[in-house]
Amino acid sequence: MSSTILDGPAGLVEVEEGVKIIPGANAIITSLDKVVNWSRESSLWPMTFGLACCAIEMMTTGSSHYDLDRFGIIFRASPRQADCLIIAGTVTKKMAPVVRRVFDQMPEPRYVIAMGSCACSGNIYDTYSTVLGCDKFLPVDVYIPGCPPRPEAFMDGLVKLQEKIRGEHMKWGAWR
Amino acid sequence: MTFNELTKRIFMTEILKGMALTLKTMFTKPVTRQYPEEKREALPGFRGLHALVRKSDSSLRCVGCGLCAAICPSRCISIYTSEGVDHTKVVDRYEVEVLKCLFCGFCVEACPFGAVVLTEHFEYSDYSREALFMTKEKLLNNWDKFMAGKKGEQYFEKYWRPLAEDFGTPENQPVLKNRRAD
Repeated sequence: MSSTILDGPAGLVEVEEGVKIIPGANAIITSLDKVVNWSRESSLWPMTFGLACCAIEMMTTGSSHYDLDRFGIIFRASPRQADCLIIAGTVTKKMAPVVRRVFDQMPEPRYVIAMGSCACSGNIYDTYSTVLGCDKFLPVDVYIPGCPPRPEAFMDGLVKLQEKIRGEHMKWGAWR
Repeated sequence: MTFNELTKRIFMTEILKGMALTLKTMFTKPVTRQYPEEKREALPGFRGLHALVRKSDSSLRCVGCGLCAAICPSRCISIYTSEGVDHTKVVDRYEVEVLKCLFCGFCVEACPFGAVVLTEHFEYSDYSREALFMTKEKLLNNWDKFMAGKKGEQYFEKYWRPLAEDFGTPENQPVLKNRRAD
């Protein structure tokens, strides 16, 4: 179609990659992907799933010295309100169905962060009762090894998840 | 109710005390570290991502004895060696599964030559398992990246000492195959 109406010499000004502003009209033009991804990444509400000692470090990250609220991350206690599941700690075989159920209760789009070596791969617990990595039954997006990872490492994982969401394409709409 | 309690209630001293504290903290400096912009230095002896020591002639210091793999509680280190020319031991593969590691530092402690280190790098989270599976080349790259220059030299002097120096053979004693550490 005719793009000459918009792309004139007095037309759009690109303020950011993919975001154009129409001078004088008080309006911006951008892709829907960008808007959706921006809103998703900047209000990432995690469902906390503290299973072991990593949960302590996760709580520390929420405290005022590190302050996750700066990223728009607010812990939710219900999977129905959450976007992302943080599995912090050892997943035992008895707990695994519960974790899966919590994940299934979360609305789309949903993301999973495996925090700590135990959630990533079972760590030293190569035993009869431990699941060797929660990616055996969940689609894990970000792995954060560490025993436990320090708060900065955990925040780095969250920032990396936000980067992943920013790069998503056509992940919105009624079908998914 | 005593007279004291009554006056406290009338003048709401408890609430006023609380509000005074709130007002006071409004003027203090915020304690939050703005993480991605402002990074805190790792404390001395921090155990982060693994690295293999590169000698000054850019070869591997590891001799492939396997002590680190033996002491590792989570068995995340695997070493494959073969026989090279003039019967030397060649380390073909040195692999660390970082996802399994618990960063205890036993491998650093066990190594008699000081060939494996835990760097101060902690931002190692990633999207896939494969990215966190460290091969020999990746581990050597980690050394170049995070322990370059003086930092790597000082590391062992400050926190760990290679055990080979403690239990070295005396000068007049014959050494097996005429080999010493470094």
